[in-house]
Formats: sequence, C-alpha cells, structure tokens
Amino acid sequence: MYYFQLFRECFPSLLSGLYLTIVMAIASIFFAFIIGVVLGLFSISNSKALRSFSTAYIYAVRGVPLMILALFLYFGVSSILEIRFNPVVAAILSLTINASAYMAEIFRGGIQAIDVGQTEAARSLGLGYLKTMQKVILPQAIKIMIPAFLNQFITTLKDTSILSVISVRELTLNGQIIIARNYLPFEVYSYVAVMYLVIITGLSLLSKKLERKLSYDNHGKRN
Amino acid sequence: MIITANEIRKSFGHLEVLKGISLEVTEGEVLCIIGPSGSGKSTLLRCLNRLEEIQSGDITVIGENIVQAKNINKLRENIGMVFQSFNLFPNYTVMQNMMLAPLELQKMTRKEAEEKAVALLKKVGLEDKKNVYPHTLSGGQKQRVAIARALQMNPKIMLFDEPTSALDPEMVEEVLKVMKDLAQEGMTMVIVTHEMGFARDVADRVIFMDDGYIVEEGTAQEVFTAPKSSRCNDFLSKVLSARTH
Repeated sequence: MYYFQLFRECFPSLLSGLYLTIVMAIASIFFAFIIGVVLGLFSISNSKALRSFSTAYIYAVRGVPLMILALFLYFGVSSILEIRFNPVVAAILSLTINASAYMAEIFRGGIQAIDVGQTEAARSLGLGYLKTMQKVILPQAIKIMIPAFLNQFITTLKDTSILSVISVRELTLNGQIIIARNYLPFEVYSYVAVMYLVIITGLSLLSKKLERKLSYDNHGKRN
Repeated sequence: MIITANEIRKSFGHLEVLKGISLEVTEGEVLCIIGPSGSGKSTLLRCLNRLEEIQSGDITVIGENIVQAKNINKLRENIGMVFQSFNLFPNYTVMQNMMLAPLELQKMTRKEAEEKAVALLKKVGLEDKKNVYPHTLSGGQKQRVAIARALQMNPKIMLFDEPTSALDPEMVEEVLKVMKDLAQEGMTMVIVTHEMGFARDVADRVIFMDDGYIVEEGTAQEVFTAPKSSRCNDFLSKVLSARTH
C-alpha cells in the first residue's frame, strides 16, 4: 500500500515535470517542423548548393548524440559567448535541431512518395512550381507523413529525458531529485516510467487511429 | 503552323531518344504518332510542352519559342495534356480538379469556372459525377474527367499521351468517343496511341516513329494501307494481327 501512497506524495512534483516535458516536446516539434519543411524542400530542389546544404545538415545532426549537442550548447556555447542560457531554451533548441534533421527526411520521403504524374498534370495545366506544391503535392504528402510526424513527436518526447543533464526540471530530473531525498529509486523510477508509458501509449494509439482514418480507401465522400 | 519542331534532339544520360526530329502541325489538324515502345513517341510529345527539356533544336508552339520561353506556365495554359495514368488529383473532387487551375491562375471567376466545368462534364457524359472523388471513378471515367479538366483551360492544342493504354478494354471506346467528338469540333490534337483503328478513322496525318526517328509520315490511308518502309510494315502487321487473334 505504501507504494501507492508514496506515488501520491511524489505525483505533484512528477506531474509538473511531465508538464515541462510535454511543453518542450511540442515547442521543439513545432520549430522542427518548420525547419524540416524548408530543409526537405532544399533536398528536392534543383539547386545543387541547397541540396548539399540540407544533406550536410542532416548528416551532421544525425551524427551527434543529442546529449552532446545539449551539453555543447548549454555549457560550451554559453561559456564562449559569456551568457547564461535558460536551460529550457537550450533544451528546446537542442531538441529542435535534433528533430529537424529527421523531420526533413520524413518530409523529403513524403513528397517523393507522390507520383510524379501529379506534378506533371499540375504543371501542364499552367500552374507554377509553388502553386503545384501548395495545392497538389503538399496536401497529399502531408497526409502520408502524419504517422511519421507523430512517431517523431514520440521520439522527441522520450528524448527530453536526456535534457536532465542540463538541469531542465522535466520528468526524469524531478524523479532524480525525489530519489536524492528519499533513496527509493525502485519506486520512484517506476512511477516515472509509467508516466512516460501512459503518455506515449496514448500518442501511439492516436497515431494508429489517424493512420487508419487517413488511409486512401477511406478518403473522401462515397457516392 | 501551330506547332513547328525543328531538328530536335533529346537524350536521357547517354541514351539518345530523339535523333533530330522535325515536325509540323497545322491548326485543326489531328496528328497520330504510332510506333513500338521505346521509339521516343511519348518523349516527343512531352517535349512539345516542355515537360522534357531538349538538348538541341527548336520548338515553336502557337507562335512562341517554347524552348526559350521565360514564362512557360503561360504557354502551357494553351496546351492541354492528357496522360496515360490520368493523373487526377485524388485530394480534390471532380469539380475541384477542374476548377483548380482556372481559379488559381485567375483565368475565370468562380461562377464562370463552375458553369464551364459543368458544361464540359455534360459533354463527356459525367455530369452526375461532379462532386465525387476520383477514386470512386472507373478508368474510363477518370480519363474523361482528365480530358475535361484539360479542356477547362480553353487550350488551343491538346496532347494525348497513350490515353487509352491503361484502360480495361471495355472502357477504351468511351474515351475514344470523346476524343473523336473533339476532333470533329476542329481541335488541334497530337495523339500518341496504340489504337490503330482510331488512328485510321480520326487522324488527318499519321507519323510512324522508330528508334528516335520519324520513319514514315503520311495520311492515315497512306501509312496504313501502303507503308513505304519495311519497319513500319512489320510493326503494323504485328499490331494488326495481334488485334484479330
């Protein structure tokens, strides 16, 4: 019984951690989406310079662990610039940079999955490149990408736990703080794990549901 | 001349698919391009609205040099194109498919576009399908919508890239019927096709292509009944005998 009683005691602190975890995940996936769209468009553009830039960015970001990126930004960059980063800002920045590379790849894949005939049909009607993208390709591509986006969101949400190393008071760090006080790692870490599990399972189910709803056969009105 | 192509050459990498093609189409003419797979006929057609860039030569369409045109989009409004795989936009209804380009390009008011679209759908016999999504249509219906969508822009030329090749046999006729009507109204049409019967009935002129060259050219009568080249003769006898089996 004491297991649940302890949970009730820890819950407010863990909940505020979970709140920050979710806020950071949402904020960074939002910015990563924007950067990802731009990089994704770069990687399918005709300009070799833009393509190379996007490729280099993606390789660089994917090749550096998130923890190193966060430590580098929070301690490294701030020491050179002689400023003090707000840890939450540094965390969102790290998560954004990290996720944007994966978003760019999702985006590129989604656009390339659309049959080239769609572009040709739109262009031969006289629509320009941007209008074709905006009205014909992107609406179809984004639909394909939604499950992958949600997947990336889940990954980013889990990645927030890494940011405990730069003293962001998210779920993991709040758990550690409690453990430092009561020396009950088995109990407290199990609470933390379950809280992640509940949120992420919820998101996974949502993703599944969306995927089914958006699948092509169910598209649109039936006659 | 509404289309003039002069000595055009086109390569994909090291593979040259058009080896110096010259071609003229007069206004109101129906030109059918026939030939075996890989002969370059689709590529030739796609060069006429610059879906493919050519390496050398010149193409003039409706008085404009299409190779050097700065504003290719403006030119393409006058050149309708129909594809083998229909390429309707699956995220839009039939009406939305038809109204997208004229509205986005501000060629018509919404009311004009709507009236025109309904009239065209009536013409291709699909008025009752105006509010459905393409995936509910049969192949033949999709292709008729695709033709109507191209006509919506009031093109001066219509290009057809094997419009019936992806259709089940029983749906070929309904599409050919729409194309025949269009030809009778005096539309300038360039048609890549394997439908020899159709070519014979409708074409003012037939071009036979093989291996990147125009091998034979003449009226449908000349090409089909008395081909001068052996390659054209072989091709026709193969295609025509396959049909009767």
